[in-house]
Amino acid sequence: MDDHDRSDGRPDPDALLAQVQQEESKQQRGRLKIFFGAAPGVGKTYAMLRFGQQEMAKGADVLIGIVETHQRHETKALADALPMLPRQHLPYKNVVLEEFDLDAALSRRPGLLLLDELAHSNAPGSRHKKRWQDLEELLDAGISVATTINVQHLESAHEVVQQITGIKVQETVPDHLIQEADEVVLVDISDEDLMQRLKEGKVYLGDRGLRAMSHFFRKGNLIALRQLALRLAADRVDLELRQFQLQNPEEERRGGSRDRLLVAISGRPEDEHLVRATYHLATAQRADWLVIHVDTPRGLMQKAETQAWIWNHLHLAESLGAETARLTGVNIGAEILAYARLRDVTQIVLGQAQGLRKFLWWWPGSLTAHLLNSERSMDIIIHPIPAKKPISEDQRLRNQQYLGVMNSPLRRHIRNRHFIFGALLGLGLSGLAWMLAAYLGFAGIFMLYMLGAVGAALLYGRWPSLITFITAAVSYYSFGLGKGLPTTLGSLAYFALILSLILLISQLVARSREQELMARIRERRARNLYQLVQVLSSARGVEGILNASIEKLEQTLGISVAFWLPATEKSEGPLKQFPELDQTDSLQRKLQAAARWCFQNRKNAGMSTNTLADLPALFMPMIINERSLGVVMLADLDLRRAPTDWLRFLETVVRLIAVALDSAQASLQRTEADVRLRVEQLQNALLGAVSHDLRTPLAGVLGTATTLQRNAQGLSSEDRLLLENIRQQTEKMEHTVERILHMAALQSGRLQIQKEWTPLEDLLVSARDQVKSLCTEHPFQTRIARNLPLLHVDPQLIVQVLTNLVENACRYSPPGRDIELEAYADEKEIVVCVIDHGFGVPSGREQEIFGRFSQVKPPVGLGGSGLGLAICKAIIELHNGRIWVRNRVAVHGAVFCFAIPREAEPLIPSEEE
Amino acid sequence: MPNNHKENIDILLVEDDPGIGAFLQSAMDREPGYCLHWERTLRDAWKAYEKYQLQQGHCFALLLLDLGLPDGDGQSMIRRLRTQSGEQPLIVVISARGHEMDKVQALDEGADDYLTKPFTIGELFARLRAHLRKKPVGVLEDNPRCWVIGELEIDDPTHCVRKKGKVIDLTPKEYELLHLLAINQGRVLSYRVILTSIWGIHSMEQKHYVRLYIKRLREKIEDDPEAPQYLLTEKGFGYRLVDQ
Repeated sequence: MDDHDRSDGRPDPDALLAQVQQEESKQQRGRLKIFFGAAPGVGKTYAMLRFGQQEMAKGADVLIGIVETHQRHETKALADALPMLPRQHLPYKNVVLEEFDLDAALSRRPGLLLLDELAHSNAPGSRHKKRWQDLEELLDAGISVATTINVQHLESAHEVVQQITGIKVQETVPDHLIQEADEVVLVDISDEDLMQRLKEGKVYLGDRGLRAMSHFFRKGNLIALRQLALRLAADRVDLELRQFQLQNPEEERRGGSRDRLLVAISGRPEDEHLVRATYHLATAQRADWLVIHVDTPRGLMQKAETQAWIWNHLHLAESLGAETARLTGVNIGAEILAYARLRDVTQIVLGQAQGLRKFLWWWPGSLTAHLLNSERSMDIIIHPIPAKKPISEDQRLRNQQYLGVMNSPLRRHIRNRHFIFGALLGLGLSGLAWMLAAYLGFAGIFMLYMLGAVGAALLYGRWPSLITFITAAVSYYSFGLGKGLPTTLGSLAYFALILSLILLISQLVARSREQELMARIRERRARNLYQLVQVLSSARGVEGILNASIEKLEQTLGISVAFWLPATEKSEGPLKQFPELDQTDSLQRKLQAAARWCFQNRKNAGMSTNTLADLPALFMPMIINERSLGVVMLADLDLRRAPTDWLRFLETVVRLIAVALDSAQASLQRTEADVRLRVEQLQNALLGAVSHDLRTPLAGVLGTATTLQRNAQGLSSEDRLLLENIRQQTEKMEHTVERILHMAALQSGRLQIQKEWTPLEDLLVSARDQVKSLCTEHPFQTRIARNLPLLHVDPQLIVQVLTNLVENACRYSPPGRDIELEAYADEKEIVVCVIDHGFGVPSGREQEIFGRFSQVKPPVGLGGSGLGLAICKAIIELHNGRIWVRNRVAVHGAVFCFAIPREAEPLIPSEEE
Repeated sequence: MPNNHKENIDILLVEDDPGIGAFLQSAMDREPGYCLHWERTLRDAWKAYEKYQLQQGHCFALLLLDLGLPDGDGQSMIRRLRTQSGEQPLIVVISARGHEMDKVQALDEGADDYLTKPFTIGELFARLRAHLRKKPVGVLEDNPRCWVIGELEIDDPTHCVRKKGKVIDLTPKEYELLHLLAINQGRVLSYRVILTSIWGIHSMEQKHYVRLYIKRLREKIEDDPEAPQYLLTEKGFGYRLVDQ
């Protein structure tokens, strides 16, 4: 059905959804506009500055992050007209380097930031190695950026550029930046004009390498570069058209299922070419593409450098937008096919075999033949591989960071001394054979050698066993044992046969040993993970989980672990280290900054990454549902001893911890809520009982006092005053008890509001009646809007709110000052405000004072229960309204307001009926 | 008639708290014209009530009734009294339960008034006086009469209301409401009573009618409609016209 729909020209719903999600994430991200050119000097910077000025004229907050004007007057004039971010100064060895100040830009948050030379490598000491990483962080922070780049700096193009110009470009930018940019502007001038500008000295060629650069600017080169730039721009326009068609189905001409390409790479440096070629193929077909490597037991024994190349190629592929995977298995071809079938791959790309194998591709054991023979549903593309190139220094450096991490574990098992042991064993065997030759006979010697070779294969591995075999064979002759051998052709062939047999068997044994080792590594990892899961699942609470994982990882992997967790629930606050380690302040600050960055950007940082690589620890974020829970800091990493695929293994470990932590936090929140509820219930029951029991004796006291007052003729005036004092104090006490009871009722949830329609005036009469003994010295001013609609509220409760507010106003206002009451309605709410002449509310505590038992420094002797406003808040919230306070603007005093949602008014009785 | 006893008004107090009972006893003893009988449980109260009726030939004029009693709820006594035929005492509830629901329930069962503890003795006597003087609700005077309350004059034969001698223009319903409150001067009229008397039984739930008309009346007859002198609100229950 699905396929049928699509072939009707209707867009794929998944693709549409992906597009919507992309749009949504773009809204939070800043917009990226790229000025793209074929060569230096075409006027990209100029165009970008012009754009900045236009935006500023439209009212945008434009800021220059960094622009190199190279003393060109037109450009400098443009740049000077725009505000510019000061550069940061980084001390490096004996010099001070100027660099774009990322943190300043992030805190300044301009509407549009101009960032020249995207391919620039940052000065040492900067957070990121490359400027394009700065750009990504800016975009993630929601800052829009305009930037410039030349075609030769694009990751996918730089090899072609090298072929065209013969100049190796060191600084590259991932292609996805261009693809994800909101706008790409091609800045283009004709090659004649560019040559002209070059002659006039208008093109900055850098301080050094002028001659090399002028070589770069040959006309032939320029034409080729221009063609490349135009083609890339055209590709991008094509992509936009596709997206447009996706959004507008009627524009779509044809549907069709999506292609998926898979390329298998090995650890050869030349495979980089294969990755790029597949990228171009996939882009041309708008296909998804996967890059995989299959680790075999033999592969695990490869040199560290080979491992680094694999890692390198996979990273390159990821930066070009591929999905990557590392598989393990003995049969490479079968693994590739199984994975390709699993992922519905339509085309498999293979590199052409090299060396001798090039001529043996038809050999049934070769990978190419295996794939060609067994696969019929996928296309197999054999791609030629150019001849070996010398590895550039840059690439060697790039590999360096993976070298340690990628050290092969199997390789560690074969030490040099194993070869020596192997050789010694060979000699020993020959010696033994020499001594026993008389008793053993030819077959016996053969068996002895076989035993030795297999033993060496078992003990030391494939290559030492070969050494054993060779030394044994050579020494066999040199010991003169071969004298007794038959010399006929037939017997020589027989001898060769026996040698081959020994070789074959020892290699088979060695291979099975390798497989066993491989299985052991896998098993150990699985066991580590399993133990971690066990430990995590039995750990109690957040702290328990942290401690358990710290202990377990130290035990099994020998690395020390610390966590950085948000100190508060808000993600903005500083991160807290757990456990707290003794560190110098400056290191602590650096680690905190790295953890913070990792937490916010949800990417690895620290050693062996591209961010803050000089730190002695690796930072990995714990992410659950797109949310950072915290950061795991791994220190004491002995990278030279680290096994293959280690980073991914660590990522799995971190994910496990994150899952455990998340569920622990969730259950903690649940328990907290539960306990809170029970405490509250208990409190309310207690409040209710206590208040009720207080009322009765109070009634006794008040009644007795007033009875005495009624018959006070016989009392002295002093006694009468005392009696009056009893009465007043009792009334105050009663008031407090009343409040507590009320709060208890509100909090317990026993209270159900009974809404009735009522005019505000009626409520106000009741409220003022309640406070009449307290508010004797404050005149009232009421401003109720004419035709104020009826309120649909629980009258008793709203009277309580009004009473509390008016009482507060009286309590805090000096005698004689007005208490004002204002009421009006808009389309949605009816707002009532009580305005006093007190000293207002301390700023910042506007919310706090609505809490329980909270009071603003009450005047002496006027203290209330501190429950009044909490009661008001609870009541108003029961009505789905809101309550707030602000200070008066020109004079002292506070304005307490509440708003009740307006509802359709009921019928008003008319006199005619 | 419950209040035809000229010399003394006999009151039955049902209250278990000795402190409250003691001061009420003392206050009533000193106040001329009142005679208080104090019982502490419902059972004793019933006994005293029946014994009094047998001896005197009529019932107590007034019951001061607490709700939370050792052997039951005072509500049951109200219910039982109000289902009896014959002479009925006035019932004033005194209770520590301050909730509106308790009040309305007690009044609906047939209590005449409700005082929340604690209260002053002055307040209690004021209520008692109003109740003992007035006739029950709904009994219309045969002869229309005139009321003079402070500066307010209500002249029923002419349906004319004057404030400080100036005629106040009232709509028919406004007058009806004021008149209803006037004939029950000093007594609280619940929303239900007002609604049934003026708007009819089908409007019993439309409390906002009453509230709106009270608001309009206050705007016309009060000096300060927000601090009314004449039309008083009985919180949560109804309204009364001031008694002086």
